[in-house]
Amino acid sequence: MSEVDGAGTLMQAAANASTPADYLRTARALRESGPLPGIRDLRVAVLASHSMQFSEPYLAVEGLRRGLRLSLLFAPFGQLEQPLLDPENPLWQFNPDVVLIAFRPEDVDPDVIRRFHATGGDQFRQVMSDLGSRIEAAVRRLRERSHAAVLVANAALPSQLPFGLFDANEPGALSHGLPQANAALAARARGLPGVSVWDYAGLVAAHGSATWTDPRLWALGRIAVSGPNQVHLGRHLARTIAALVRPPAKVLVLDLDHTLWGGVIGDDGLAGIELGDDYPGSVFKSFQRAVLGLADRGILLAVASKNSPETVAQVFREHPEMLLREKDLVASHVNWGPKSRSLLAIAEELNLGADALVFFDDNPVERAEVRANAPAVAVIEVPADPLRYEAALLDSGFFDQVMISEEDRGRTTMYHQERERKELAGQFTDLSDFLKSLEMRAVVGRAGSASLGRIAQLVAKTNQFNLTTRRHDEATIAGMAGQPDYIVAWLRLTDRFGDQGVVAVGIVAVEAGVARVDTLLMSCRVMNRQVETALMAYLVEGARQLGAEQMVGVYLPTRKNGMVEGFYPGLGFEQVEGPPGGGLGYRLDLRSGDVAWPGVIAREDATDPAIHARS
Amino acid sequence: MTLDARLRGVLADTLGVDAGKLNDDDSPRTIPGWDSVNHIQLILALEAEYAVQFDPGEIADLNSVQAIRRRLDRETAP
Repeated sequence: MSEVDGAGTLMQAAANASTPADYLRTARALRESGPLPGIRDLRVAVLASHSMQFSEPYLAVEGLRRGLRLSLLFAPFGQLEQPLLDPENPLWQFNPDVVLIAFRPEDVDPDVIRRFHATGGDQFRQVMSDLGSRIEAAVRRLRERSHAAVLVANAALPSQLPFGLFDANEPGALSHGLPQANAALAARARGLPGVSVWDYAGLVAAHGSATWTDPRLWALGRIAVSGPNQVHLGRHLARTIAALVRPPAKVLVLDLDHTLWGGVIGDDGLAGIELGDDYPGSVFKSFQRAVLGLADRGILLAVASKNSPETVAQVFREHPEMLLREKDLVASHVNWGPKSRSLLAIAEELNLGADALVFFDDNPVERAEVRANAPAVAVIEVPADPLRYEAALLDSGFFDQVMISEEDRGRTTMYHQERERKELAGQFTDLSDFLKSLEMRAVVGRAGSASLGRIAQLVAKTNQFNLTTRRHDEATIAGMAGQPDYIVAWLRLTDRFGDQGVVAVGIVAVEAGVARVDTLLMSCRVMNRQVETALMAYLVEGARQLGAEQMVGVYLPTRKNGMVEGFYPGLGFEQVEGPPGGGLGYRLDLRSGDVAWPGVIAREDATDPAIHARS
Repeated sequence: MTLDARLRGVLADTLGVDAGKLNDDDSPRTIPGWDSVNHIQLILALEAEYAVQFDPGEIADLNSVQAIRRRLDRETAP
């Protein structure tokens, strides 16, 4: 069997796994298989207060379903500090990409939940706060030698509450204290680079705390999750891990007939389609609300429909029950051609790769056509019953994002501003006149606690305007920002149409008079506006302050970053020998040369405290 | 009940052995993959396959192919 066949067969087995025996068999085949093309290897270390080894096959198979080969290392249960304090511990040799810390308060101290009222909840709060401090100390210890992403499990409410049926009637009860403790944990995690919460509480609640645990398994092996729930745990955790290492999709492309409304607009007409507050129209209205919820988080919405454009426009403008309106869409392709062609056209129009698109269509024939002819597009397997659309959309995992930045929240508006900008550009014949008319203002600054998340987000997902495509994780970036000879810079752009948010990032290391550009990237939204020149001018200025006499940069070509091939020559860099692994090298002598801040952009320096100022 | 294909399949999937080579005498002593973690995996795989629930007291005693087969025979007896 060739390697490719091996990967395909394994993926198929993972997709079909349903019984425990299926999971165990597939996980074993995965462990024993050779390299799998297209599958990403990830090492995950687990530090837990209960025995999680048991979940390994479920995690491995659910990981494979998401294109990940998860190798797992389990510390003996109950050990949090020991593995991190011992330099000889296998954890260090294992060199994890992800570290999961899953400590349940009732394992740390069995009294805190069952005997919650013995101390009026004080002991519970103390244990949760101590646990938070222990986790924080553990993460700091880990950071001395590892950039692994860290997941911290929050705490789940038990099925039987300390004050019984009326627990929630007591303002000071566990029912309220536990969510508060979880909120404190989330705040603590947010303050630590590369640390995110794994929502164990949400997982348990979604599947029911009453049956989450099998008392036999707890008694026999300190296993906190019942057999049938192992699949749910594996799926939830694998999805969480996948979200850490993979950027979310950017655009949801929707079909219309039988998707956004019931019936066929071309046959049933404006008054005949099902959409409103009564069943079955209510189902579609509710689905539209869920779609808008995704847009609120920064997912762009587009339409690909086989219809006549005038008929569709009428629904969006005139149907009183439509929640989605034209302003919510960034692209609309309504024609009689193949949907794959519409999807690829949408990607091109938005200047995105086809892999940034997710397609939602009730028609299995259309889905198959897109899978065949636009294979990079993610296709949601839509259930036949519209009542299940909402769950299929929201549980697909394609939109899982670890954090929501300010930029995400206003994304649709930004795309519309971009349209207005293009209209304005049409009125000018001279580019610099147009740029001046935009009244651009750039705020530049160094990475700090407020900007780190957005910087990591851009580093993770920028494909096109990206000179080196180095995917540093948040902890690595924080580490660089904390070093005196590094410059981790960001640029935020505002113009007469609105705030574009942080759109460009540069990372430069200065050593012995040489400034090396590690990373230089920019959002394609602000192409051709001299923003990249502004950022380079800021980096050159910073490099000079650190004693640099020359600046060197490389262009590492990928399938997607051809647009920046001429970047360095355009700024007056001379070509020099490239890096040994391939790519082009460039150099600018800072004693004779310079990169000037562009006159069409006003400059402002940020007051956001740099990262080394806070730790 | 003899050692049928259904039981052989669950044992093979769970313990990582060749289904054809399994016999009544196999136990954690003859099968290296039959450790304490996999024993519980096996128990849950059997419970899912045969829609049964074992008492915690008997789980440890189901420590050979023969013991498992006899226990399942009781379940399926008329």
